[in-house]
Formats: sequence, structure tokens, C-alpha cells
Amino acid sequence: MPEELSAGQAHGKLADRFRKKQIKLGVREWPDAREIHFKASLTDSIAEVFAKGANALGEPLLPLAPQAPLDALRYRKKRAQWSDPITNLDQPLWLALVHGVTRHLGIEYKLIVKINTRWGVAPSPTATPRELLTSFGMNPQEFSLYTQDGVEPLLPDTPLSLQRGDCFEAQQDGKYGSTVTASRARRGSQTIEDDVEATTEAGETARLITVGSQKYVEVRDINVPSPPWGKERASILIAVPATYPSGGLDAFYLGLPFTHSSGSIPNGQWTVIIDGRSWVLISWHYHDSRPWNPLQDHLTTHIRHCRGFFLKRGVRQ
Amino acid sequence: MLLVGRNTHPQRSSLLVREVLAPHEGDLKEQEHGAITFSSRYLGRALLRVRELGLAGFITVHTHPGCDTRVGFSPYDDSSDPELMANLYDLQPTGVFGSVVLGDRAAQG
Repeated sequence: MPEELSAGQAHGKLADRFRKKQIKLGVREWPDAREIHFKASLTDSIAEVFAKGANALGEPLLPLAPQAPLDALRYRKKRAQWSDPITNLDQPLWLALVHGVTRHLGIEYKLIVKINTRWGVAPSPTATPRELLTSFGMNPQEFSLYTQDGVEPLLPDTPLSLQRGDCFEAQQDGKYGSTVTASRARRGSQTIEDDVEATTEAGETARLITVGSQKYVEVRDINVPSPPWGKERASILIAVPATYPSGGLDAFYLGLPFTHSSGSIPNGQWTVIIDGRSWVLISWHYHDSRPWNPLQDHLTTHIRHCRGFFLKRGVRQ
Repeated sequence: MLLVGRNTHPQRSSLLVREVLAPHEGDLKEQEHGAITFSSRYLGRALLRVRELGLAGFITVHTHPGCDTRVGFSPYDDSSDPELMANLYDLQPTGVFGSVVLGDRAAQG
């Protein structure tokens, strides 16, 4: 090796006269195919040399550029031994030569396949779809494997006959619905948490708040007529008795600031601060002839009952 | 499933439904009260049809029976749908995918 190359190592720069110099290299399909020759510039990166060598062998690297190849590049050491895969693909060829890389390279072509947008190395040529999905970090319980443009899923435990470059698609099921619906407690023995979830499913913006031992349900964005109300949307807070649902919901708090064209909030009682916000208690109750019924009433029906207040209809004060 | 194409109007871009892909027998793995599962085969068929027609993507549609003027995704929908959407975008990064839930007189997407 010319001393100028070694000298360049000290200042990390190749002498100008070598900059356009091309050298002859040998490459083979690792480990023991016939070596063929190609040329590369001393200033080429090892990644570029890797790609040129693959082109010389007529078998492109996978995945294709600009992705980093999953194939491996090695060099032949003395006594016909092979190096470990070269990991620093960014270094220039001349510097790699200085560091001991030889001109005899070997490309380890791996059994690289693609699932969706990802490339990976298959565990074996006869891997099953289950094994292939698992090797790509996909749960075979959640994904089915298809050939590209295939309409039927591949049988999960039937061995494949994999070729380098094969492409597959892994598709999930689409699950919708409610986990709680199927197991939802019978009306009258449900929890307020069940009801908040059901209310959310019904399109309300509801959340449970716990202050000390007292639970409240906050419901936001209730549409109200404006005028007479000063805003088109209201937030309400419903106190939940510890004995819910046998202990019924009753009345509610209205989030402040809120105004009414009459100058005061109808049925407004006293103001309290709960969860950092001011609320006015609204005296709005079920009629004696139609009291709370835990087998029939729940959070969603109570919100409907509270809406009646803003619409001036329904129940007595 | 609603197979959609892009309307690339400069001021009012939108998605237009090109085709409704109804499920075939076996396309719905679960179809009980309160839950529905679109099989991967059904979703895959939608994706193949989207590619065949050169469309943008598809929208899954399911209903919440009992919801009238207000409807929203359930916590279960919210927990499972992002995974499905991530899967669809992994299959077709340039696609457009989404989901809609319907009540009797309301929709959310």
C-alpha cells in the first residue's frame, strides 16, 4: 500500500493525486463463489463499494437504496478466513484499506423479504407465516399474512417456500364496538363508570371526577338555546351518590360563568368550587309522580332530564 | 366500507365515495350485539379494489344502534382503531384511511 495512503490517515485526508484514482477489487458471493473483478474509486464510501460489488455480481442489495442494505459485506483475510461484516459503511475505501480491509470482498446475500413497507431477514426458507410474522415483530394472533395482491390469507402453520425479495402483506382485523356492552351489568347493578362509558359512546363529552369520597360526572358541550342563555354550550356537573344506581341522580351544577337574559340563573341556589371551577347548584328534580327508577334511569337519561331545564320543560323545581 | 377518491379542487378538496364495498359472507368475523369485527380478508379486499380503481383509500363504517342525534366512538373503538389505521398506512403509506360511526341521525368520523 502506498505510504501516501497511510500518511493520509493522520490528517484524515487523501492526497489530491489519489482522488480520482480507481483501483481494482475482487468480489464474490460469500463465502465461496468465484471471484470477479470491478473498479472503485479510493474516495468511494464502503457503502458505494458494496453497491458496486453487488452490481458486478448482478444481484442488487436489499432493500434497495436509499435504505441501508440488510445484506452484509466482508473481506477475505489471510489464510482464507473471512472478516466479520463491515459495519462502518460510511468510511472511504482508502481509509478502510489503511485500516486493514483487503481488496477481496464477499457479499453475504441474506434471505431478505418484505412485509408491508418493512424489509427483514426471514428465519428460514421454509418459515411458516406465523414464524415470519413473529420474526418481523408482528403478533400472529393479530395479523394475517397475504401474498401481495392475494385475496386469501396464507395458512399460519403451512411452511412457505421463500425466495429472496418476496413481498407479503400483513393485515389486521378491524374491531369495533364496545368491550363493555357484551358484559355490561344489568340495569340497576351497573357502576357509574359503566354509565360514563356508555354515555361517551352515545356522543356526550363526559368524564368522572372524584373529590375526596364524592364522585361527580362532568358533561361538557351541552347545546342550550341562546338567547335566553348567554352561551350556546353549557357544562354541567352531576353528583353521584355512593349508593348509585339504587340511590338516584338528582339536580345538577351549572358551570360558571354562565348568564341568562333574566339577569339571574333560574333555579340557581348557591355557588361552590369543585375541581377548581365555580359551579352553581340548580334545583331541578324528578316529579313525585315519576321518581328515579334504577331499573329504568341511568346517567344518559339523567343528562336528558337536565337538558329539560335549559329548554324549560319536563319536571318541576 | 366506503372506497373513496380525492377531489383535488384547489379551494374545496374533499373525498368522494366511488364505491360501497358491502361485506360478503365470512367478511364479518364477529357480528354480535355491541361488537363487529371486519376480517382482514374484507379489509384486504377493499385495499385491492382501491388499488385496482386507482382510488385514494377507504373509510370503515359501523353503527352504534340506539344512538340517535348524538353518536361517538366507544373507548374500545378508540383503542383498536389507531392500530388498524397504522396497519393500513403501513400497507399503503400514500393512502387515505379513516372510520365513521353512525347513529340514527348522527355521524362522527
